[in-house]
Amino acid sequence: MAPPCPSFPVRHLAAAVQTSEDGKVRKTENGRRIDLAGDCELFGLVQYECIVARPELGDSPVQCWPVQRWFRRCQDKKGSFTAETTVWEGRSLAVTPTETGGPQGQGVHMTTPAQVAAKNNISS
Amino acid sequence: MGFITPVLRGFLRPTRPRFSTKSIPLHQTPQPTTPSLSTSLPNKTTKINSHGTEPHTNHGDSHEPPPPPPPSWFGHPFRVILTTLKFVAFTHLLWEYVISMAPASGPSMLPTFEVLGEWLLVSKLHRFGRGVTVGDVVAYNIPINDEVGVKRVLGLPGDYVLMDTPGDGVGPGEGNMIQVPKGHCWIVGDNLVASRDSRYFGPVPLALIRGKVIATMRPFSEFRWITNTSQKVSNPSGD
Repeated sequence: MAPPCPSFPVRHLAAAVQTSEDGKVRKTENGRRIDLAGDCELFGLVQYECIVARPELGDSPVQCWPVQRWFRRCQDKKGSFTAETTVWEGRSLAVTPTETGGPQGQGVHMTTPAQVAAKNNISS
Repeated sequence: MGFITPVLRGFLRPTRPRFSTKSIPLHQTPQPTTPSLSTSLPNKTTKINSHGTEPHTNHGDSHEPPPPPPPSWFGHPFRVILTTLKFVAFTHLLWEYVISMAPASGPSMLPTFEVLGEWLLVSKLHRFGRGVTVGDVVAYNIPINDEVGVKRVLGLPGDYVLMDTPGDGVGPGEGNMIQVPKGHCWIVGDNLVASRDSRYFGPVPLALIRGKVIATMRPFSEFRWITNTSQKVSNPSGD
């Protein structure tokens, strides 16, 4: 199992990304501190909250609500690392309900990060 | 021993090459390997038929070597066993280290995979998390039982991930995060409300990653590739 690893509140994320997993301060090319919002690329990934309407049926319709997650990919001298900023970004989550057409996945409405970004008035 | 002796004798017997690799120079006439009639056969009188001609004989053809027997893979019990072992070993190598396929069931990866009937194609080249990036779907040994699960990777060693479920009472700026330790990854199912994943049992050792899911299929009806759904978005701050 995983070794004991401390957790920290989301508001401390900007300070936490300054140290690597071995506890050393991350070094950047220009010597500046890592700026999550300014220097790191933004990535989006959609997950879902799905409910099977009638589990006893083999072809039960499935209703899904997309949950948008955000990540920042930053660069230091040793390489790149990713920090999830879903809550840190402070944006409202996309909760548009979508209903699927059954087990074949017909009619599944996949919301892409670009669509969510456009919905949230994020330039893309 | 009475049974083994003929088997060993047959195995040790030198085999006749099917094709000769020896080349013959063009300016040389190939020498017959069998003695010619004039030297090997004793002198004998030739019968003359009533028409005064020699009867047509096939004496020359009858002294050519017999044609080699047709190749057969199953001509010998030992050869059958050897061929079977080779086939099993090759299949095992392919299945364990290159690619494999297995059925998957459960609601934890809805709507990417349906609850029933999915067959997943797993690339074993990505076992132990080799070449896996955030957003990939992996098959792994569940650390709390002996089953194999399928989840999406959200964090690799050194990454920072949210321990809580977004939207589940976690408002902007709230919640707890964790830095994924060395040699581990953070995996979460696509269906957040029906998945038992790293939010439940913590970071997963990369050694438990069996491979990366590259495709899904329903026999005789559907085949589609599974791609990384993580997409780059331009920086909203305009930098």
